Amino acid sequence: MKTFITRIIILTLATLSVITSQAADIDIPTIPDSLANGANSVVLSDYTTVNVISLSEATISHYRSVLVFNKKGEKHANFGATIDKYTSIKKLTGTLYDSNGNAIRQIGKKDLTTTELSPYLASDEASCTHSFDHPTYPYTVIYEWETSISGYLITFPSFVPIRYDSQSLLENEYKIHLPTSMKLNYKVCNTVPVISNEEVSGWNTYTFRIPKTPAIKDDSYLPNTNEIVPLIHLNPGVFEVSGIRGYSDSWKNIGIWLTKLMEGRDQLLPEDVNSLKALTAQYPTPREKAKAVYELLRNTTRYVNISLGIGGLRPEKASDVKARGFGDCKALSNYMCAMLKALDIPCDYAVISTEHKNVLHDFASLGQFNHAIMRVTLPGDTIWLECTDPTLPFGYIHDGIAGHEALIVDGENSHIVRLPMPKHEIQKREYKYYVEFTTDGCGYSHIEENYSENYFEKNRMLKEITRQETQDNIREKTGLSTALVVDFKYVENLSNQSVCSYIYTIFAPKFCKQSEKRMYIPTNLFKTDISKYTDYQRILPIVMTDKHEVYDITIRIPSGYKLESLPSNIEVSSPIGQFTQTAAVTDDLIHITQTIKIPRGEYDASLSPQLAELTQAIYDNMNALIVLVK
Amino acid sequence: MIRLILSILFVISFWGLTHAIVPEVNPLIGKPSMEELEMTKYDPEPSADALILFERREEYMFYGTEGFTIKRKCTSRIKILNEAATHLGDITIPYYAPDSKNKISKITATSYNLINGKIDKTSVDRSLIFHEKLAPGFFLCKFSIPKVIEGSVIEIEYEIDCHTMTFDWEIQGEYPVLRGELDLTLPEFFSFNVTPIGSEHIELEQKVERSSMSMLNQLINCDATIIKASVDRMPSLHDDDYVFAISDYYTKLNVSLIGIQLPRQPYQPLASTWNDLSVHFHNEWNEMKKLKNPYQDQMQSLDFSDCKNICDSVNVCADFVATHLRWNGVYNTNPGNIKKAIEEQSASNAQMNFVLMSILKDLGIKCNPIALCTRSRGVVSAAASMIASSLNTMALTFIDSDNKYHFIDCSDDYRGSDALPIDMLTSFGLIIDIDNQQYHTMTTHNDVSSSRRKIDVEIIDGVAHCVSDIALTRQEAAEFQHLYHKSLDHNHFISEVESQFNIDITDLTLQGMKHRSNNVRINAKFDKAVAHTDSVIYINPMIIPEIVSNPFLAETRKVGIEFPYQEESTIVSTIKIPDGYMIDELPSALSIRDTNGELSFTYNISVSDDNIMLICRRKKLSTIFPQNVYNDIRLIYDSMVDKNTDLIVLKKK
Repeated sequence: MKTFITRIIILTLATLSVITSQAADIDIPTIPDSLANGANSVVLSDYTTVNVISLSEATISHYRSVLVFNKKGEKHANFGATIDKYTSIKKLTGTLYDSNGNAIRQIGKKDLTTTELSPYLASDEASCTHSFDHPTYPYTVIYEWETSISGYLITFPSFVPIRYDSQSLLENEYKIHLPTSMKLNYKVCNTVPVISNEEVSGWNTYTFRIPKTPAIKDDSYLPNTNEIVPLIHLNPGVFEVSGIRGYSDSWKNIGIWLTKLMEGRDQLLPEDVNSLKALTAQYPTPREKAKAVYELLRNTTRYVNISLGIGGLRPEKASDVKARGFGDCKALSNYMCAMLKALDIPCDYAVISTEHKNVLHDFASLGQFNHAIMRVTLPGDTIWLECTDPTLPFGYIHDGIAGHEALIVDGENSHIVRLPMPKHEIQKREYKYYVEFTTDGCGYSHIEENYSENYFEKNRMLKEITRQETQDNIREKTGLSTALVVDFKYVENLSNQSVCSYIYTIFAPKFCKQSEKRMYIPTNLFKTDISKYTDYQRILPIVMTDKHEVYDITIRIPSGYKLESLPSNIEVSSPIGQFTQTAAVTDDLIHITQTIKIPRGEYDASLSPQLAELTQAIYDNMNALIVLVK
Repeated sequence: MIRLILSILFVISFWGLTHAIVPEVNPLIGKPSMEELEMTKYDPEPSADALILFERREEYMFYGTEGFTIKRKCTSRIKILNEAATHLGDITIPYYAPDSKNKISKITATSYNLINGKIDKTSVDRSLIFHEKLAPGFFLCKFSIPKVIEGSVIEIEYEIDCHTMTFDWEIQGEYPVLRGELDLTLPEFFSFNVTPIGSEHIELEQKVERSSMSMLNQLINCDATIIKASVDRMPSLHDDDYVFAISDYYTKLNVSLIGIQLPRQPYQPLASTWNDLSVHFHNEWNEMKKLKNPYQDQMQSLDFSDCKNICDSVNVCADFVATHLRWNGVYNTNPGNIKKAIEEQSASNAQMNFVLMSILKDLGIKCNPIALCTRSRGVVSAAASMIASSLNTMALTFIDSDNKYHFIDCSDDYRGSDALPIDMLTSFGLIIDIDNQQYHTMTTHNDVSSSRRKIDVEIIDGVAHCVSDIALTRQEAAEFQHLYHKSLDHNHFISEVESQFNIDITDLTLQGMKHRSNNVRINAKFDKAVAHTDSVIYINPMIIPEIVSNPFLAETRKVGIEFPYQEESTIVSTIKIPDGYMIDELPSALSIRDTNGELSFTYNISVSDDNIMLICRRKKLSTIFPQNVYNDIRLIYDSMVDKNTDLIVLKKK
């Protein structure tokens, strides 16, 4: 009986302990003004511990606590993680606390929303997410979880405790425990952390702590996020995937590993090689042969992404791409290389980032790339080819990669190169038009639009469109809702540069506003894509991309009218850029020129008033009116 | 003889010019014609990137272990006319499988290309057919057809098991269709409504034949109604900014199950009328009648002192609900586990609305739920029998002392009474009086949102100094609140407004920004540079024009024009003529409206002493304008743009 009662008591106590072992309440720290100002949330703590078990295995424990101040910060506290064939979430708890630190709600791994939805044909990734929707602010959310990596340990998770603008950072620590023989590479960006390293019995424990960091305000013309937020990249000095060992102490060694990974995947069937030779036999030079092969790529393939397992890094076999007629950027670039190699045309496969212009020269890691291209190397001639969009002209370097650094994957010759970038002066959009009016106010205008280099790729016409579509496009561009296009021509000129032109004549019953006595003619029919910038407490540098626009406008003053108001000559110049306008009248012709020149570059935040002034001048003058009076 | 030959040649060429050449219909799988392979454009729509050569669906109903099941066989033959359409070779088939078993079978997919005069055929490899799990029970089957390029003909066939009781055979879409066919075999045990919808013609044939049906793995002989639907040369229809759901305009055939009577079993009716629907929702919401106000002890904290009417009181209560329950992003009708939602403080809109209903009940404000279909899902067709599955959300409705209906939904923090989320503004809502077992239908477009702007202007040295008083109601007030709260703070909002309107704001105060107010008041003082020479001033009497470009540029339009909500706008602008100046030109008056008076614009300008006064009114009293009034709408917008950019000219004396 006693035993029985004892058992009941023990069982009851055990049950009670289960019921009561919910999350304990927490103390919410006081947030100093320097971190609260401009913040919609604060990362109270972000602790990551990586335990490396072997070359291909690790467990990672995470603890992240975020205090949300208001509605704008609520997504800052959400949980999100990607799992795949190699990575899984072992355990997870999430707890919601009210403004006093009282635990309100707790969730477990089963409460995560998991979906395999992807934009690819196939991917073995799934995303796991969770959010506490809480109606009153402030509140705190803490997630603790453990992930396991097995079979694929090329890189360690980067330490990026600040993940959103308007989010500040309080306590944090990243700890990694790995065999000394594995060696740790790390790169610190945009911060000066406290770093310590302890070696015990052949194991190293590195610890990184980033100083408290205030929130970053969102703004226009900002640098890339990875150039602003404090972050630490880490990877193992040695790694092994699919039985292939690699070293990340240099870009050359990364290239060597990639080369090994891709070995044997650039072989084509003999009959396909023979077809290639037959196709290109008529072309005398390697360049012409390469161009013909690029055209073949365009006509026989399309972009489809299959990202399974190591397929995220290793391209599909060239012979498979040939058979299927599709592949992703890696597969298509590798296939193109295979075809050129079959014709003895020297070429290289390369990896590059479309998001970041520069690689970290002192930190070699595959995570810095998200795209693959290829390069043809002829004596005195290097041709870069974008294989996922062969509609681009042969050798055209598009805006997503122009000026970016790439890793040439060529075994012992692997190295970093920078792709060329067209000079600012030749990247241009140019409008030239002449307007004449009839006695009843209708306007005829002959218009020429020219787009070169980066403007070319955004404005080129990829297929024939109907007359109606052409007319609708021109109406939208000019704001002349009743304009009739009387003839239209599209021309591409790829001889020296990449230029496309639209040449057309329009007739518009309401070319301009007309009152009883006056005509109001827009100084410029076309709108710039440069928006007005408002200077508002800017702290971060200003990053500008190339903007170069030239307008040449001639207007014939109709008989019976004289000039009443004309925009003036103006020049606004600053270290960031320049806007000039000239306006002159000769007999009955008004001639206006407007030029906007803003070269790409990074400028100090103190220049933001000048940027505001420049964009204001552009806005005012491009929207001004010429007034004629009877 | 020569004349005869020339005449014949003339007739032939004339015929060729006036009659678009289209390929012959080829329904055969595996045998693309040379005509199909060689064609480079589809003459009736020369800019089409692809042509659906042939599309066929065969639907066979049976009763299996999972209940009513449709076995659907789909066949498509497509011509890729431009490389922009090669993505049509990437196939995604959604399916529902609560048991996680694959419901798609017998997949074949092939591309045909003409290479050096020969047909090259490539089929999809089974190893490249994948399945993605979106959520429990919901999957995507994905595969990419090899060698799809400009000029390819691709063919896809598969079978799928579904359990839907209503579906649309949507034969019109983004690409033109040369020939489409639907074969329905409806065993006598199932009662169906089959309804054609849309403006293009669907050919329908129907007959009864002796057939058989599988029932729980047994084959039963029965009569079956065989329905054959077909279309020829169906034109494409493209999406548009002024359409909520383009599928509303597609030509399609709706097939809805309205009842089941299996052998030796009673007839089982399914919802077929509004009355049946009301019973369905009465049942679904019955428990909510008894829901007690979970915040009874906190009701004293509610402050109704500023409330002038019942709408204000309801707004206070809705705001109170939102401080206790956070909307989790879900719109639905079923309150589900409302107790859990209250505990976790995270709720769907239905759950939030029912909690609000319990609070209003305590305050003696009677309200009823109204079931709705969100606009982006398409219009609920009165012909569709299974409307219950279309009605995917709900709101609350209540009546004021004048017996006028009002609506509220708790999901949007800035929307109070009569400012339902725009996606909920529909023509068809089903109000359920859950206490009295009654129902009736009603539109939720019940009121006009207004914007009233008064500006007083004084021009000094080329700068217009403006004092503005703006009153916004309902949707206009809600949209402003959303815009305001997107900014980092008040000063940031000011700088964004200054940038957008090219003004310098010297003072900005806002009233009515709390409690989901239906009325927001904006008082602003700002300066705006005016164009001028030494002797002439040009000023737009609107100061900040509302409509500066016409969104309707196309000559013709195939679909209706849909606007978010009914609205009216009034601008009263008073400009003091500066000393030493006189009026040289004034804009002319204008009054324009469409035939039904649902879209109108008036612009009147007058002079009194040294003041110029503009009174401008714009009204939009409907949210849907049919396609046949497009030209009127376009013309009215042109006129509005014209007047919005008119200028007053003042000249030095």
